[in-house]
Amino acid sequence: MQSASSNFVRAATGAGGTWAEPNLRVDWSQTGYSGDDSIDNLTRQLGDWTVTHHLDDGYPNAATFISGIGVGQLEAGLGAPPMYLTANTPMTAAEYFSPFNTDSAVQAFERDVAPTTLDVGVIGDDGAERIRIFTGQMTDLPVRRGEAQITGVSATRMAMKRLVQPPAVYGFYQSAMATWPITYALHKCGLYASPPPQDGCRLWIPFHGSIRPVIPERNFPSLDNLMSVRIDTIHVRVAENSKWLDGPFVQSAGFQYVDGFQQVLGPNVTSTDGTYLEDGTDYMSQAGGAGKLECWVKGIAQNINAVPGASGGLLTWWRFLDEGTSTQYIDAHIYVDGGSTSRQLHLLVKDGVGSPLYGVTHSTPLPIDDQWHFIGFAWDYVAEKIWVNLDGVVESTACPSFTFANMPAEDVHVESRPYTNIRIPTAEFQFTTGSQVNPDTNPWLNEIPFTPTAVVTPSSTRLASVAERTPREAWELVGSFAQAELASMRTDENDMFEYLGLGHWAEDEQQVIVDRLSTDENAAPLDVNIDATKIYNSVQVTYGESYNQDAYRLVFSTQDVVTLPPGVTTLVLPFDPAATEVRRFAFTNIAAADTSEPTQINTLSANSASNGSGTYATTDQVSATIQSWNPGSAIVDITNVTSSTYYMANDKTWPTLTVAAKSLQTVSASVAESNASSIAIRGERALSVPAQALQTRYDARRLAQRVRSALRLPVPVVDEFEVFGDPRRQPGDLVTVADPTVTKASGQWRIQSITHESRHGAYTQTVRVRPAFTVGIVGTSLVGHCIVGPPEE
Amino acid sequence: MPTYPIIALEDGDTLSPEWVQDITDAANEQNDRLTAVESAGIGQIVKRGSRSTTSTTTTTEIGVMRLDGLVLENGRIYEIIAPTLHLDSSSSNDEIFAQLRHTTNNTSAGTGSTVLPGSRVNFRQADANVTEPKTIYTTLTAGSGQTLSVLLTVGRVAGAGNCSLIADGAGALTQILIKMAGDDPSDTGIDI
Repeated sequence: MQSASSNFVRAATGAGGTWAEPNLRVDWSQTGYSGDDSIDNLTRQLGDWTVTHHLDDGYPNAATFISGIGVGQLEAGLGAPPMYLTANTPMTAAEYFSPFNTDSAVQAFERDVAPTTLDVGVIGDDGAERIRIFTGQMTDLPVRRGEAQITGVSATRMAMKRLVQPPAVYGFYQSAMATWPITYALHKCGLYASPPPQDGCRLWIPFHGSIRPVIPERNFPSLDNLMSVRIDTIHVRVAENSKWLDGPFVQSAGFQYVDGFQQVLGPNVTSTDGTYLEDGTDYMSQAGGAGKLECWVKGIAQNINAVPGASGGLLTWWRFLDEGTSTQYIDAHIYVDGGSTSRQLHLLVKDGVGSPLYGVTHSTPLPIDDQWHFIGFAWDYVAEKIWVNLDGVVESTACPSFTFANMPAEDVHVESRPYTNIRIPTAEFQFTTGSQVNPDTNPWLNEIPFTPTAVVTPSSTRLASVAERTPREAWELVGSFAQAELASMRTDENDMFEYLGLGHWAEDEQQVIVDRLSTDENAAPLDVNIDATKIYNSVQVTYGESYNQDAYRLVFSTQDVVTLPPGVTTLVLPFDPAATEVRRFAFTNIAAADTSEPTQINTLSANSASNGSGTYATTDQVSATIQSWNPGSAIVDITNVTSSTYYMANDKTWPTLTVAAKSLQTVSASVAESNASSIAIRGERALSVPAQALQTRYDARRLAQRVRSALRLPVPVVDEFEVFGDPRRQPGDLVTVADPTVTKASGQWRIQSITHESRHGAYTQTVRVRPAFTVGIVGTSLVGHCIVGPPEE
Repeated sequence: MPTYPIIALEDGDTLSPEWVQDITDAANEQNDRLTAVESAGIGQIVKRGSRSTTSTTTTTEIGVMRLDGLVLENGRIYEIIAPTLHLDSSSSNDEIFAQLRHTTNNTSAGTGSTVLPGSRVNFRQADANVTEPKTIYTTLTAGSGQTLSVLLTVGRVAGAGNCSLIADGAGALTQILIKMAGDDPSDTGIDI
């Protein structure tokens, strides 16, 4: 239920008030609404209209309860324009909306892009008050038999038509909960449930179910950071054992040490490259000397001093330009528990040989209160100042003896990237460089106004890895995860995207009855039926059982003979199976003396003869390099620096080109769950549920059990029925339904869909509801007729 | 028979009868398995003996304590332990030993019976009458139709003193413990 004033509630529920004129507005020029007297205001042309909203329940088509899609839609008739819009010359709707009529002020505008809103309201004690029931964009404006009709659809849905291909997320070491590809896809569509990256952001790790950064997005040759999960001193597989917490916005990494279980973020010791950054302005050279680290951390009690392998701080980020001599470095950390500096933010900066070491320590330690806290570190060599920030309280130190000339001319990240080590629950980590960093003149991340455009509850689906071989439509990609866990997906009245897992409906806020739909008061007669066509007592879920191949194997090999003339030859190589981490970007050239066929490395056979009988080229003559890769393919450049033509060929019957990678192996599998008591009554009624988004048997069984629990018994359905209009109503509202005289229907129901409708000025709604189980209470609730809820605080 | 692992219900899940049945079935099955293990005696001490007095002093091998009449299950492996034995001699630098001798034909083991393989412990005592604890730990794989008798003995290898197994019922105790450890996985060790 949308919120409104008490006056509105009184007026809308019939205690005195009349409907106000609905406001239909379009932004023809897409430069902002131009005012009530402009062409953007279609209110005075508005005829009959309907707006529909559904809650996509995630069930397969054969069993879904709703008849539409989870996307707001608008249809409205439009009449002739007021004469002040037509230079006081009467104009029909057909004339006004004709794309050929140059006398019309709207003739030149596109008909499928303009932002569109519709507000409905009442006139109460305080005048007109309206509530938005549609936000989206115009999709068409056809004229038929002289009458115009505007149609609109959620702009968010349109934005999510974009094709996206998540980068490889190697769950074996990075963890891969489904939340990560969901919020990644939303990010690519400009939708955010948590603060978006700032300008100049060179590292963004939201920690939405994986430590995989969203920025930088490109796939590197090796992992930079790993999630380490240990039980006491035994390392266990990250993909199956990582723990994730509800975050300040979406989700957070559960970095912590609890009773022998420890989970940390640390550098990949086999890489030694430190953390990869997106290209951007330098932060530690004469080309640029400002940087800022920001994130939210949870104030848990976390004494890691005795943890095996633990040292340093709760959160540490450092970079030494000159490893070993420590003459120039940045070291940001939160001190460990204990001692005089316990849990305090600390930043140390030194700019070169002979220069002083400057530090700033925040006077307030990170509280132990299980709450989320914003923290920030910033430095600016030019402004000669360093800052630390805890929950918006900024403390700083001037560094007057900084000598900018001490800095190197440029950052050389290939040789020295920053190291990151985190041992406390963390979310929304951003590292930013550039002119917008200095906190004296720019806002910190927590000060930048943020209005969410998406709500995402964390997914419980655990993936072996994220390895999408091809781009997919963002809506379809996210929808596949929703269907795999029966999450609800919709765009709301303000065009906010919502991904709501089953747990959302067990929250306290969702247990509040917000409306009463009664045939005695505000509802038309009900038709209550048992929808026998949706009873399924045997559910089979098909899915792709997936596991990580944590060893390098060939994901591409060919024996094709390709001509390699002098210069660069570019090849696109398809991978099978999907790659999660290529071995490296360089290739080894096959030589005449080689006797072992390559099975685990990148190789190139470059021979002077097309049948391989000539001489083999060395890497100084012909070399191959992976320019970029994704789970499904790689682009490889083969550079021939000689003046002779070579051929991709050999005389060993070996592949002429190979690429090795760690990979995601997937086989088709299925699980089945049934209900014996229902089968005994009505025989087996099977439902096949495809869920290719699932990768584990555990999650597939969970889905099968959920579908079986929901469909094994007859479910009473109240067919669509009409109620007095109230624009505050939303799909998902918990209501009571009462029909005391005819069907005797009663109890708690949840609204699944609403059609707002105005015919000849009369505003009504048609709703569809479904029985809603209450959160179970041990000793009171009936098994099979209640849902699991969060424990009482 | 439930299918493991049992799915953990999450907030919003219907508390379904099948899930409750899964838990019930799992608990019952685990109970059945545990009962079967317990009734078979796996992991349990099936015979034990305890002596709280010091053995007779001797210069040759003599018996200290014997366990008789343990019917063995064919194919099972038994752990045979004599923990924290306090070997002692009246002279310094004496070399003394303890070991287990046994029979499996339902006759009483004596000092002429076969030494249980792996059961001999011995050492050279630095100071007279200053005991040094030693533990015998070995295993026996049972054959068909065997009844075990096992004898703990003590004796002197070299030296001039009188040796014994010290026990006082307080800090020092002479014990034999026999535990049935389940099916013998067979010897798969590789001699290097």
